[in-house]
Amino acid sequence: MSEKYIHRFPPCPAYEIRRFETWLEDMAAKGWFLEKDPFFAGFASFHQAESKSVRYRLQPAPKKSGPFTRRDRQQDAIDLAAEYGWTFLGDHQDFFIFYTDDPNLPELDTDPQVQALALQGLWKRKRNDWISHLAVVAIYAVLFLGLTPVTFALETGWVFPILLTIAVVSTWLSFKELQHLKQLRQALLVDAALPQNTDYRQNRRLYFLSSLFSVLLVIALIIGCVGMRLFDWEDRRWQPRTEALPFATAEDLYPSSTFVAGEPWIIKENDHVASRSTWLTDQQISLYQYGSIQPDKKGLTLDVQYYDMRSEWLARQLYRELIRIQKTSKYYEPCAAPDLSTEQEFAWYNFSTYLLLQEDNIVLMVRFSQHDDPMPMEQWAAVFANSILN
Amino acid sequence: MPKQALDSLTESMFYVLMALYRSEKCGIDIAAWIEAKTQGRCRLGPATLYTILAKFEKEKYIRETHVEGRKRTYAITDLGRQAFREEYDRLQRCMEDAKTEL
Repeated sequence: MSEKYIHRFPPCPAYEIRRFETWLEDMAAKGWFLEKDPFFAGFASFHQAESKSVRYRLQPAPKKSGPFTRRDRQQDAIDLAAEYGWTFLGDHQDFFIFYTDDPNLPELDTDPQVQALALQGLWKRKRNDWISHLAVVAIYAVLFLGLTPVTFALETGWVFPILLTIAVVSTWLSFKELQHLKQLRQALLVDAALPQNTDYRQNRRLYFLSSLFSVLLVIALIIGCVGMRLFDWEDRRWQPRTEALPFATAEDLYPSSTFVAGEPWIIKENDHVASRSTWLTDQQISLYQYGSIQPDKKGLTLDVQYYDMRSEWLARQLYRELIRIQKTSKYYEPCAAPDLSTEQEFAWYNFSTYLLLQEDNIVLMVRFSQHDDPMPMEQWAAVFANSILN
Repeated sequence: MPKQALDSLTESMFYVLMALYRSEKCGIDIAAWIEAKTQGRCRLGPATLYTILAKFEKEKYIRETHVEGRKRTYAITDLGRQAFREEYDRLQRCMEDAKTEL
């Protein structure tokens, strides 16, 4: 019979030992035998041969020896099994897979309490991994999110929620595995045998879908990172202003005068707009204007950040966070915000005068700087407030 | 006194220490000695043997004396002898208690 090969996705994780072993033995009964080093990208490779009764056994892989250790403990376990006649095929999810077609060969495990000891060793390693996962999630959440999760998410784009989802999902999967290994160990100590649930078809689809979901998350993360790096996805490019903006500009502050933008070589984004939409914002616009009001020759600098958030709750959250961030600045000085018709308004001074407005889903932050005969704050603040109220 | 980690030994563990009590042996020879000693009643599988040897090495009940290709030879330590004698004494007391009931 010419050799054929097939690739199959396992119906359950390796830590569901008896179900995994039964699946392999059923495949052998149909004439499909696991290859040496069979796993790639989660799929197992089988070659075709005459069907026969064989035994596949999964063993917790011993702890890997350190790089400076002369002795390879994993190889010790493989060599000892080979001396008995068991063939080592490969490893999968921290389990070694052994095989024999000799029905007279003694079982790999002949003492349930000792088998429980081996599982305990694996459980301890997995527990340490799980604690590390948990610590990463906690540190990631606390250190980077801090008290400004919305602002952080705006800056990092959609890569952040994917990373967080991956971290949370892998922590939960690790926990599930820990629980199952503990149950296996208890079954060995109490019943002197592994649980005999060999129905690997149960929850097969669920396992496949959850594995697929994990893979898609990682692919999305890679695509996102590559896209952001190579194609400047979510990178806001400064463009000359061509369309009307949903907020006031320098021209609106002096409707009967002319705003002349400063020399572009001084500040290249001058009178340019950067715009994007993200998963948190319908629209996010930055405007920078530096120039003079003619014919009065008054200098003016405006720096406007406009956020049209996906919900009012997000807008209020962003508003609070922006204030929190500003208050951490060494040169922050509070100043009284004028009474405007927006839902919320806040002002401060930090080398320039800043105004923060929130109305429904909109958050507007304006930096206003004018040295010669500056326009009173009440006046320019009202112009910006009215522009988002309409 | 044995370390807390191995307060009591399973039958397989007891026989491994017994096999090494008088002379050092390699892994497969330990299993063969035990099978012969118990007339086939106690057969040690390779995974069971590996786990016991690794645990005993960690607890310093045995030590590796030399390596020849795949074969590793082990010898019992003083701590291992002590653990074996304590388990023997415990089993002896169990037997004596049982005798009074028979």
